[in-house]
Amino acid sequence: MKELSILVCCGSGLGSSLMISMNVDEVVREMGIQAQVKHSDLASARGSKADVLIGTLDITPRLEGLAPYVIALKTIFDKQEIRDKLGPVLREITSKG
Amino acid sequence: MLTQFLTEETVRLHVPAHNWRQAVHAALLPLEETGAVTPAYADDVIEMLERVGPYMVVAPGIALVHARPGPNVMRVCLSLVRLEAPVTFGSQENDPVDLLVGLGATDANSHMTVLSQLADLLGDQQSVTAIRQATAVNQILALIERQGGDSETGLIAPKSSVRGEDW
Repeated sequence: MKELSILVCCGSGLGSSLMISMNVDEVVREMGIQAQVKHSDLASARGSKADVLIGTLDITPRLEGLAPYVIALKTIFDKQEIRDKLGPVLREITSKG
Repeated sequence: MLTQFLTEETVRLHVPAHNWRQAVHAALLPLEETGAVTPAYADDVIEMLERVGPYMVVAPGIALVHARPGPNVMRVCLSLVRLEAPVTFGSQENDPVDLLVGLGATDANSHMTVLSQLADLLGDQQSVTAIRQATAVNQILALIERQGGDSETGLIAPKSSVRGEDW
């Protein structure tokens, strides 16, 4: 199957999105899943073909409908929250193959 | 690495601010004073917050105050400011804010190492509590030094799959 793509978004594309993407990268590797993790600003999210979009709660309303899965995080520092929310989504996508 | 950015000049406590706009200015003032950003950078940040909303409030009580790279940022820079009293940004989950990190970036990736160390610091609840309870800047600097002790050189290899380009 093709490599999964995960795009982390924030307003500028280089503050919170970069910090979240580092944690997402770690969680994805923990899970042993092949995925490309990128970060960008909101404008780039619109044209992306990502399987999963991730952002903080204050930004995800703007991401709805732009990808099959949109994940809203309360904080950018909590890896466990990323595991809890991203884990089931990645398992679902990979099980569909 | 983090200790090169968060110094006596860029870490401040008991800073007064009555609303989020004042808090943004307060967070960026140390960076203006050290010549790392121009005063107009605060306007860039405020414009972004007005347009996109309070997404820079990234954890309970913590805001990452930043805008895009541009002519108003002279070099990668970081500040840490604790307000005398918290202010609200309108964040669903994480208001009110008493800790602000000012960030200036020059491109999509060159601030990555320093942000990853900042994430280690602010992702650690004990450190955040210690920052909130500190009575002097040098206590915070000592904490940062301890925290960054094992990655002093800042030579953390960038993770190959994390990229900042557009799709």
